[in-house]
Amino acid sequence: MIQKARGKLSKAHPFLPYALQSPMFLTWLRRGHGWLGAWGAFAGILFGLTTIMMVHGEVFRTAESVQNIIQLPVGEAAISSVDETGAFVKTQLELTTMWRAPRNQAAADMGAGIPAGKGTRQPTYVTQFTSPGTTLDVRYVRGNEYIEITRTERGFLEVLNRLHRGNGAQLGWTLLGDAFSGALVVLAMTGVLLWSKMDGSRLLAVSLGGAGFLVVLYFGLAGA
Amino acid sequence: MASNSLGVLGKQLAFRRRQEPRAHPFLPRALHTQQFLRWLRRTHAWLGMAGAAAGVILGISGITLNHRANLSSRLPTDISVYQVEVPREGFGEQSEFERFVQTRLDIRGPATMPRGAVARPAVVEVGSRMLDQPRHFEAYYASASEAINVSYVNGNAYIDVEHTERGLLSTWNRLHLASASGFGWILIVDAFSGALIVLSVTGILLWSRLTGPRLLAIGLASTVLFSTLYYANFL
Repeated sequence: MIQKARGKLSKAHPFLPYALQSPMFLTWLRRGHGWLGAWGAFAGILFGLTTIMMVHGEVFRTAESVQNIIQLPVGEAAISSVDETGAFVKTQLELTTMWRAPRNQAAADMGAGIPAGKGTRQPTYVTQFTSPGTTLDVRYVRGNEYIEITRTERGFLEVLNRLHRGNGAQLGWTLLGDAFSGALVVLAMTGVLLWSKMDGSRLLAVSLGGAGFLVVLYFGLAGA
Repeated sequence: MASNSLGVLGKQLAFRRRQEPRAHPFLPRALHTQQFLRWLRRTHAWLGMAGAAAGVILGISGITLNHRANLSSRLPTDISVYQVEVPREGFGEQSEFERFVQTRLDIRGPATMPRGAVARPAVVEVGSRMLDQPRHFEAYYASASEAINVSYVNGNAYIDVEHTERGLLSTWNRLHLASASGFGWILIVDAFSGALIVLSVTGILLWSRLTGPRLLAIGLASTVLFSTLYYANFL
């Protein structure tokens, strides 16, 4: 009798399997969705806005940046490696980040000959300090008096874009990005499970969600 | 008697209302109507349902992209180079060349220009000789999952083809980056970003006491805000 009644029960949450339709699991779902959502809400706005700015980069010209060049005197310090260059700049400018090898660094052609008697090849150290807002490109030719530092500073909107892309990210921000990505997946899934009759008809929801799924499947497998 | 007790009850209710913690602590009181709440709920639910699949793909590729420095070279990508025979007389026009390539290789859609193509002069000086350079054709076709690079020098017997096929995860990365993607996907990305913003805002407004204390929610939500401000100027 009870079994039969249960079978006829119209489900309040049509995408939640029967086995999981207990008040406890529903509360847990709702809370999980709620807490994750509250935590990620600001990130959602940030990532949503920057996506639009980047996809339509020709409309939102955020990439303009200010560059200037600093000559940092070496003084008495003897610098004979990339790491020594980095450490020297870090202490001199009181930086908090670590230096790292710049990405997309064009490899100098060390094989090309130097015209006879016209020059020597001094060891040259190239490294970079970078954050979403500021980048310092460091170049030092051993024996020189000055380390050349090219400083690039970016505007607020470009900083947000770089945060989205994880450019110049420190460990904390990388973890936050991972957490937000994970949250997005969980929110999408729990959201579907939480769908309730109050939100609208199941059929429409299936077709809308299915349409979204098929479109993503089409692009995701075939590519476009 | 009955009317009296009702009056007292009414007063109590009016009094209570001011004191009572609100069910939705982030929803302004003026918007705290049944109708607005239902509208909020439905907007949130429908937008969420439409974007759910995209959310999963963008979330997963978000993680792989976040670690692209270590990962991108390990995601499977097949590059094959092969040649396609051409009629000896070559081509007169770029469009003629593209048409031939598209029919031979079953490529739909127009070619995209590769960036940073080197300009080719018509005559080159080699030693003391002036060498007339034959016409050179190139075309580049790209989707999120594939890229085909073709080049041909008029007079040669073969067209050079470089065909890149990406695995599922690197395809998703390209989709996430919206690189080499068509109008349709750009539209979806736009819609998804808009939906993400709306979902964030409606989600906060919908926050209910059932989920937990208001203060904790504020604290949790502001961690991301403060991290953003902190890391934006971190050096």
